[in-house]
Amino acid sequence: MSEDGDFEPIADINRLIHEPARLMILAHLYVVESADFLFLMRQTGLTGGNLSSHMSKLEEAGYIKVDKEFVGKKPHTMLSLTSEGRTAFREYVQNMKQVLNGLSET
Amino acid sequence: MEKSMNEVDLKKIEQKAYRESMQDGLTEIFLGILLVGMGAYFAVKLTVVFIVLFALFAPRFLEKLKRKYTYPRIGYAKLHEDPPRKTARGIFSYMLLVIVVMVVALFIIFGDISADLWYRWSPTLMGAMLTGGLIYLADKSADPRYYGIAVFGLVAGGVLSVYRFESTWTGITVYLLFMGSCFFGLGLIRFVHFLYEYPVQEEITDE
Repeated sequence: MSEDGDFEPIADINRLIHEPARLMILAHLYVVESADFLFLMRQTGLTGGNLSSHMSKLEEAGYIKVDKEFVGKKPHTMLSLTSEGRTAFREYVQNMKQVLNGLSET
Repeated sequence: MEKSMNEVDLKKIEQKAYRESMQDGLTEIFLGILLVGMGAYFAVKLTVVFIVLFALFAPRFLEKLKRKYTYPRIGYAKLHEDPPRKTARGIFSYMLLVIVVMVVALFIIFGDISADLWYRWSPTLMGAMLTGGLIYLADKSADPRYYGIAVFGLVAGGVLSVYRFESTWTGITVYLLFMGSCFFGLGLIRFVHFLYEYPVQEEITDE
């Protein structure tokens, strides 16, 4: 809530990103150029199935780019943040800052 | 500049990613080989060929080893790299600063800058150069052990500079061989520990 009791910052929060697992995925992809599936699994502590399902939602939203390739005979998945995803993440962080600042002032 | 919680946390995530990618010890092993090669140069001049070839091919060979041993265990992340021009400028500025500080310090302490004095204090100079690289690594990875190694390297350089060797080049030769062996040994221990700690993840699937 902002100073004049405006709830707009809360309404502006991106619900797709606000989910903790997806927020973790985006935060980890934000600080690297790209990462593979195993790296993200280890960093976020998510299971393969969980990561895969959140990955699909973020890909559908156009926030991440998923490249599947074969290394030898094994499938290998590389993930990276799209420019749209990078912008959405930055906006999310800004909105959250506004919301949290508003809360701390009350 | 005041940093927000979010910036701090993202920095920590980035440092963790960097730290994870360095935990295989391969970088230390390669640095150790390079330093030993440089140290051996003063005894066997022919090793200059090895140093040049190693410096040229080491990044490619390191990447091959990481693909074989590191990425199947902990995954792969392409980290953000500083622009090459900025990196080169940073290295050059730091080296220049170290040389100027050394020249001024030697002049104040001994009252002259002879070639002999310069050779004698070359282990300290080398230690200060290594310290710069290690402080950079410590900042990138938030791993305080690099600060410890930096202090150790600088102190070792100082000790070997104070000790009076008969030959001009003995101090720097001993320093490079000693530090190279330390890095190689440390890297090897980390690498073996890494192989035991992280088995190959073969069953991971994203489907």
